[in-house]
Amino acid sequence: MGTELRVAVVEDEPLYRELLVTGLIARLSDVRVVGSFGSAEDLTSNVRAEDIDVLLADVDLGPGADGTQLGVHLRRRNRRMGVVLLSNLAMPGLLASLPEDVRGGWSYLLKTSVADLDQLALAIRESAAGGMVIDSALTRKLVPEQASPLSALTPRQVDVLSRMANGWSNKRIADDLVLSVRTVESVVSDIIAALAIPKDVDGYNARVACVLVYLRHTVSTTRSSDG
Amino acid sequence: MNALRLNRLGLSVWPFVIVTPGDVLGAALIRRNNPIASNAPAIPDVAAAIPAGLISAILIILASRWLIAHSRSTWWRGVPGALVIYVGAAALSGSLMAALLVDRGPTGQPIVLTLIYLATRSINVLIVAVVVQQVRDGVDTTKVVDGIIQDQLLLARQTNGMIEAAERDLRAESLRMLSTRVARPLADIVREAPPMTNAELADRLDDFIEVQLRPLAHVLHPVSVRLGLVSAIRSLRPSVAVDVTATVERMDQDGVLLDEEVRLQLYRWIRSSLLEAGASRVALAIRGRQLQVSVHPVTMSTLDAVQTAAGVRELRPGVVLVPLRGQAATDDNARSVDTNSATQRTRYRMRDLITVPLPTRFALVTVLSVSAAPFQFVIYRWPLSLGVVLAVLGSAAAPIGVTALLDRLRPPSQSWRGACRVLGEWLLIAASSAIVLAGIATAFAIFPPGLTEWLVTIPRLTYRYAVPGLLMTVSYGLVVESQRRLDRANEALMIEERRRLEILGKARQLDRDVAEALHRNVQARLAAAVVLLRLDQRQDAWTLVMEMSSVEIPWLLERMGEAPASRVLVPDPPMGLTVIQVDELPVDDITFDLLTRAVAEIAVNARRHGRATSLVVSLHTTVGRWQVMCEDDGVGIPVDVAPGLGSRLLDDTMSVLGGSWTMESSRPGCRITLDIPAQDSSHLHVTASGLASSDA
Repeated sequence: MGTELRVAVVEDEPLYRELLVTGLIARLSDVRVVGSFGSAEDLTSNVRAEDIDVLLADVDLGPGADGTQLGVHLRRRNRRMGVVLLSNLAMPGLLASLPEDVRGGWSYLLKTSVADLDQLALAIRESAAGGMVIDSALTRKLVPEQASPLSALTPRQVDVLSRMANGWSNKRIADDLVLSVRTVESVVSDIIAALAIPKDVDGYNARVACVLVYLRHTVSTTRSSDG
Repeated sequence: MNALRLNRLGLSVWPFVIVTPGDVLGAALIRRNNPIASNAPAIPDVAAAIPAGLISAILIILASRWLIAHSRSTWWRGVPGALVIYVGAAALSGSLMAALLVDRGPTGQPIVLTLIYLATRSINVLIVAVVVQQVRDGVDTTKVVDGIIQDQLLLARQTNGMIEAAERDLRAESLRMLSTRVARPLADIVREAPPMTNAELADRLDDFIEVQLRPLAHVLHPVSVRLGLVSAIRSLRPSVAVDVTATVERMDQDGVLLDEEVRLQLYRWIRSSLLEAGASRVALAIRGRQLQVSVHPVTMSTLDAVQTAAGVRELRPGVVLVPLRGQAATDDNARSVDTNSATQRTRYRMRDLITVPLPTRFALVTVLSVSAAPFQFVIYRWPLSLGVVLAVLGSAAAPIGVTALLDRLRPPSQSWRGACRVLGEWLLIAASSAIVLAGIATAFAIFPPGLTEWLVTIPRLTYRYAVPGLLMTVSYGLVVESQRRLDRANEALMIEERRRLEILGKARQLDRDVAEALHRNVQARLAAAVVLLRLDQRQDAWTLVMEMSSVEIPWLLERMGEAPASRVLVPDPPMGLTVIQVDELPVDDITFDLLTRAVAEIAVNARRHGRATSLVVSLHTTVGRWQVMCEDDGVGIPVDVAPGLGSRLLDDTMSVLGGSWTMESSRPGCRITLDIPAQDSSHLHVTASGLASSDA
């Protein structure tokens, strides 16, 4: 493990915030909470962006700035900061439409998924390192749009890409899909080629660029009783 | 002074008709006194000159009007052109009269006298023409204002009614969804929970959140819309294609594309197009200062009143326009009111038209006096003597002096008494001129012995001053009256506008409250419960679930069940009466119904017997008592105030309510006060929640 990560939490529902800070993040050994706040304004008036490694924020914070806007604001003051969005809404596509200059380093988890401490820890660490973690409960339901760049991918490539979106390493993807690491590595390069990802993406790596394309061109097949 | 600003000057024959009686009197004096006409014109000459002068002037005016109508020149249509034509008509017709009246003798006449006569006549005609124009403008303005008032009020009331109905429907639909998709499933979970393991219960709750609650965030109370219209549309239906440029999407995310209310209502339209009407593609594009949104394939989804009120306009089926942020929706409805449709007749009461244009009046009298002086010389002997000079100057100075003195009095009231006083003042101004002239003339023996000169001079000068003066008073009064009506109309419209904003505001507030509660409270806590269950903290999780099921959700249902409270006492006022309800009456439904009957009766009587045009209803509170005050602007209490059907109805209604009523004259109109015992508003709340919980 590297150095301790400083995390700031913004969540407007006090009970959930309390649970998040004391019940969950406290269990992560390499993470320290530098403050927990009820609104974006509360955070910005109390903590400087430079003192945060990862922002953990609810997307919908009620009236005032939302979690996405807060993330963009802080990120422009601290380019190395990661953001983990927590939400009740299944809208990971938000991350693909962020302003160009702050893309990468954003993760998106459902509020009900934070009990999965491994995923929460992975999201915090990956975001701090400029990577992305999309809740696996969400990616399981994402399917590629028709007539999109993703149509060029084989089903196997899509499987790998969705796991890249979960923030998984090649090793873990290989284990999960029962493949060799070498095979996964070659699939990943094929994906990068197929999606025509340029070699030197400014600010984030090719893996993140692939995930952004994936988020932009997938739709959710969320079950709903709505007619 | 506003009233006499000359923006346009129509060519009318009225100024010549109005100055003609003055011509008759003037000619009569010229016949007696004019020194130039040594053999003074005979009565047949006068009888020929007056119609000749009038008819020639009328022909000139009519011919000019015809020529101008068929000419392309804009100059002649303007004020300068009209002035030239009036002066020309006055001079030509005056020359004709002078020729018939004066130029009969062998001596001929000095050209200068004819010129003085023509100049005086022109000035007279111009003054009257300007004043006549003012009167016409005043009448037109008042008619247009009345038409606009009626149309706009009607439109505003209809719109508000539609918004209210749409709002009620929305609320009913939301209540139904909340009840069937949240309250009931959660109650089922609570009932079935005991035998479940922690993991099973967590899965069940997770499933409930995903299947029921999360879609509601996009459907019932679109919290997601706050995060951006485009993302909300995308989350709404997986397969939908959204055509949008990066710029528009960026603006949307940054919240600078649309106002919140517009975004919400536009989203509702898109939602029904996608979910109910089966569209599969949405395109957004900026067109000028508006956002154009189209859905494909074209659907039959129509706009409801709430959406229209927020500024969503249908361009054609499947395509709507909404104002961009900060481009407040222009009220096309209001603009489309045809001002020409204001053809209804408006009746004026003299007392409404009395105003006090003091500086204007002073200016008018001065112009009349100064312009008259040379002509007086023409009439009263030539060459000059001390007596003539004194008589002419005195008769010019007296009206100016009297007007200055009248200036110092208190302004006349807007009543019959005031009207009589204004008339009396003009007569006094005129008489002062006539008396000074006749007095000095008599003293210096300019007038021949006898009463004849007096009898002609007094009506002549009275006519000269009083007619333009009274016309001007009426024109000024009309402008003031229009202004008053406009103010009153604006007041009524503002009340309707306030009502509209209140309805929308309440709807939005409720929407927001419920959305916040449902999404942020309920969903976040249920998420916490799921997490707690996964961490095997069942006791804490269960407390949360029970709290949701037995407190939060019932509270939401209660909030949704409350009807929007906007109650109007006279929903259908009698024709010609504007009812302005200043306050909302926080009384129970039975009291409200009784008060409605009483105030409707008062409105009918105010219109029928008081001939009122407006009725203001307001609420005044004192300790333990409420007074509903109804003030009209009618004629006041009719003299024959025998107890009629109306007063019996008020007696009965008030006795049921345990109150009383009184009627008194106010200034103007009549004030009826309904006095009832104050109601405790907490009692009302209990009624509302009682209704809601029985619904749940």
